[in-house]
Amino acid sequence: MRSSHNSTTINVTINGKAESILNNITVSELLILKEIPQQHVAIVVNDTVVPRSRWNNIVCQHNDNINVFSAVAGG
Amino acid sequence: MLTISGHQFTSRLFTGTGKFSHQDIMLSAIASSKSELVTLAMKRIDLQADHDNLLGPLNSLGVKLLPNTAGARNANEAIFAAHLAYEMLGTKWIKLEIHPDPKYLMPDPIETLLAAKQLCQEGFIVMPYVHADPVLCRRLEDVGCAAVMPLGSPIGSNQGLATESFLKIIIEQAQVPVVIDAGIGTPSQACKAMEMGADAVLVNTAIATSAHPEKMAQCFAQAVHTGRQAFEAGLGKVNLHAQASSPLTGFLEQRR
Repeated sequence: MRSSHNSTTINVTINGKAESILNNITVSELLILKEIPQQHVAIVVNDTVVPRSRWNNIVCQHNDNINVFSAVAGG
Repeated sequence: MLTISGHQFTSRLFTGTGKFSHQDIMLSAIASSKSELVTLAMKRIDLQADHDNLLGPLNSLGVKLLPNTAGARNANEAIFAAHLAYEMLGTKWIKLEIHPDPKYLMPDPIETLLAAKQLCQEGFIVMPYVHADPVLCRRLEDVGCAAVMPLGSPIGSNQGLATESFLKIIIEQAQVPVVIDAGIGTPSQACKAMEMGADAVLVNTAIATSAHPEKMAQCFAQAVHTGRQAFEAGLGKVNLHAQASSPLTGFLEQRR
């Protein structure tokens, strides 16, 4: 199916929710955009854990499946 | 002093952070327990909700964090969870738990061994939650696990040391620390585990679901300390017959 994005936005899924975001933004910038605290989270893009050291280099792509995890109470 | 992978612990009581009614209660209970190693789980963030600051207060308590792989149903998912934990918390310590069956939460031994081998090769400090299986515990030790964590009874069941006979074999054989995890419901059960020679116990439900978690945490701390002291002092031999504690000289007979 032909994608519906234009040159300024792309469609991604963030934690299971479809969203339209600006094109050409990095994982780091996405966290800021979504007001997600950067400390103590882990980012998974298309089932691959993205090391923190690469957050500034990885640019979100159209149709990326992005998941943000954090620590919660548990035994 | 207990040492796991070069890290020394003064307290032999490890605690979980789950099931507390409120985060403040959890923090005060952990402080009272004097625990130095606490477990955490991981989940996908709810982007609509406020983000609880769990780690800030835990770090200020000075405890070491032990993220778990709860939710993993097989080795691959557990390995993935360990990688997540490393990126999230910067620690290679991982409580490896793989329990696909939600009714009894029995750990899958085959997937656990597979994941343990891989994670140890990657340099993780692996502490696997397993059934009280002495053979499996040896196999986990062979692939490089830093400790083994056999269960006393099902997670959260408060049934205590239902696996006692097998825990004794594990304790006798193990060359790595043995942490009795799961099912310990009372301080006396924790004390018993320590008297048996366990290196530590991990308690969550019994403290978290108590009417007074902070007080119960203190009780567990005392019980674990006392049990360990008794083990170090050396328990007496159990005999079938009576062994007189007083001299039986028959002095009353000598009246005649």
